[in-house]
Amino acid sequence: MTPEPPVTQEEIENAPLKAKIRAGEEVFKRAVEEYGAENITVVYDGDVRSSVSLWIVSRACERDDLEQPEVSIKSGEDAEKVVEQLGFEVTEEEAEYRVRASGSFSSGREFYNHKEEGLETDPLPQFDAEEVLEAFWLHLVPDVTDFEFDEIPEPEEVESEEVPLESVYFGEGSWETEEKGSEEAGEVSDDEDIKSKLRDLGYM
Amino acid sequence: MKIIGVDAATWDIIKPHRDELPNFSRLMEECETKTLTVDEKPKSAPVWTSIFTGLSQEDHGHTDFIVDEELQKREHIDADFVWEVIDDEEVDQRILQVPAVYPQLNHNVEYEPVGYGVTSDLDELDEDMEKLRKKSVEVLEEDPDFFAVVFMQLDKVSHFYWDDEELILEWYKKMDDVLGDLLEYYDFEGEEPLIVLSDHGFAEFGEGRVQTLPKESPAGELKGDHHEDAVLFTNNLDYEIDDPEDVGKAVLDYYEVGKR
Repeated sequence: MTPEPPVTQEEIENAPLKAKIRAGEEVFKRAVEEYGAENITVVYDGDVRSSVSLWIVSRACERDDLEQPEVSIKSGEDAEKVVEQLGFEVTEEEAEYRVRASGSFSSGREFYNHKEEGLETDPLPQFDAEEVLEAFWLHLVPDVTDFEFDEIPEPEEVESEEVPLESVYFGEGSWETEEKGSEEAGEVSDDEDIKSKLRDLGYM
Repeated sequence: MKIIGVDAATWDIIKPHRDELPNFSRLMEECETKTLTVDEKPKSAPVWTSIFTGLSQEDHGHTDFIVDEELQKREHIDADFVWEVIDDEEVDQRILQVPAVYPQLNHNVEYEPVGYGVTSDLDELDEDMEKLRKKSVEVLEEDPDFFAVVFMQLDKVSHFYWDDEELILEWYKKMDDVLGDLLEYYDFEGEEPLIVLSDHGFAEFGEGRVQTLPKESPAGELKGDHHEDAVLFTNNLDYEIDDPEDVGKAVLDYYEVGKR
């Protein structure tokens, strides 16, 4: 059973973008505390949401002085470049617990998926198409037990130059801390992702 | 009125496996059935646009998901979709995932598909189908006046696995099961119109009138392609459907748009 969301929908919708980023960092920190970074692999699939997820993982590591997990690249043009740019080591093997920095995640799935050979974690799920980071809050925080809305510390400033990703991964728009800006950038990058996926299937 | 779209559903699988597809079979028994031959290009984007605008491809002018390197959006289509001309105040209408463009069109429903609904990965397709089934049931529970949904997964599976008959049948069974859940909310003894249809059929490369996608794609070799013969089931529909656009015309006729 997925735990009851500790916050209301209204609180989720009204949470500032910075708080959502901070919440994402907190979720990852808890995964590391529970399983240990050495037992976690981040699975990166190359799309924009995956890039943002990885960026948040890197922020969490830096902020809380966590050991960086290794990253397994599933797909994505220039993926290795992006992963290394964020300071992660690339691995071809996946550890016992996986953090899936991926766009494909069902909102109904449990935070922890029990498998025969251990516990798989999927704490970095799908972002809302209309606002890149919205789903970080929607899907992650409700899955973390004992997490209270008012526990989120005042987030750090998020400046555009702090996002160490090339503009292509956010479409043509630049990264902005204002929600409107990120929404527009998110839509553009979603379009690019869709075009890329359609081309993969043969649509030219 | 209820419309259930099953992209790429073809008689060539449904009829020979009728015994294993109880809900398709029920539709064959209880509905009027016919082959809806798409005389224009049997491509999903323009055909679903015709189905839900009531206009031929020539009239709405929408040709594909990507045109001149640009991802097509709602604003690129110079035509009204039926839900845009039906008055929301008079008709409680809920539209889910019409693939005229990507992201697919919704109306009065908030929904996002898994992986944008564009994938050849079977696990993702499975998640996508289950998510849309769940959402459809949730919407149907609210008993809207006009409900429409389109499931795209069979198309993706067919493109990449058409040569694997067992797998294709497995996915038709999944779709059949989804149909069963949705048809729980339809009273075959009542008077409500029902339309279940595909936008095109499916076949090996070369069997269809036109080739719609290349044989090779970055995601792998495509094993089959669209065929112009689509499937159509109707019940309680007082309108003759000969072309895809007739579906849209039938919807507007039923809700008497333009008659009042």
